[in-house]
Amino acid sequence: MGASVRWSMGEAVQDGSLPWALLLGNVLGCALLGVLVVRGDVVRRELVGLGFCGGLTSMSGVALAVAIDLDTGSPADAAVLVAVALVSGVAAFAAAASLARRGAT
Amino acid sequence: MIASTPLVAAAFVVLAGAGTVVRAEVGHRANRDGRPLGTFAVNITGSLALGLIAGLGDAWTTVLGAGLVGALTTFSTFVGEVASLVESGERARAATYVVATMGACVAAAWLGLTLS
Repeated sequence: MGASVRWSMGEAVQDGSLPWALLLGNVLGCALLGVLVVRGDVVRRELVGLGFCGGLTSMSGVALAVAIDLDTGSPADAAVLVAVALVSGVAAFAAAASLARRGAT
Repeated sequence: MIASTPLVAAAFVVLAGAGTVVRAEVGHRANRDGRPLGTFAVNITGSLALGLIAGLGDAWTTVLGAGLVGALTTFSTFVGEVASLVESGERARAATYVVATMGACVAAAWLGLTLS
């Protein structure tokens, strides 16, 4: 299911220099996993966290987009993409986890 | 919307499911506390495969690339593991994991592109 949503988003948003659909899927998946780590039970973490979030997000998509940037002689685009992907993913996870923690107390 | 043809959509769903199951199995078997080797391995394997598949053409790239390999690799689990390493005070290991994953996956995807 996560992978299907990722594909639909990719079909919907396809222009621009950055792969926005891929990045958005990664951010959403990381945020949802952040909430689950704090509030989810084991079953939810397995099904939604490992299954849905894991399928919604994609590491190979990021790696391929970066490799294509390097291949076509745009190392600056490649560096920006790596930085944006890492920072947005970690920030989404941390922000969602901290909000969930606040809500839990 | 999702389907170019019903066959492509059906193959996508089946293969994405298979990718997810393989990733979960490898993760359960190979990931240890503080050493997420399973996630590391599926991400590198998938990046190499996606590089190889990228030139195949529309339906194949969709079904095998976005479906099987997209679901085999994961970004959210990777980020979750990095965050958990940082929280348990293992900053050096977290940094190593980030650099190793990004470096190895990009290198693998590039190798795949070059070989295909």
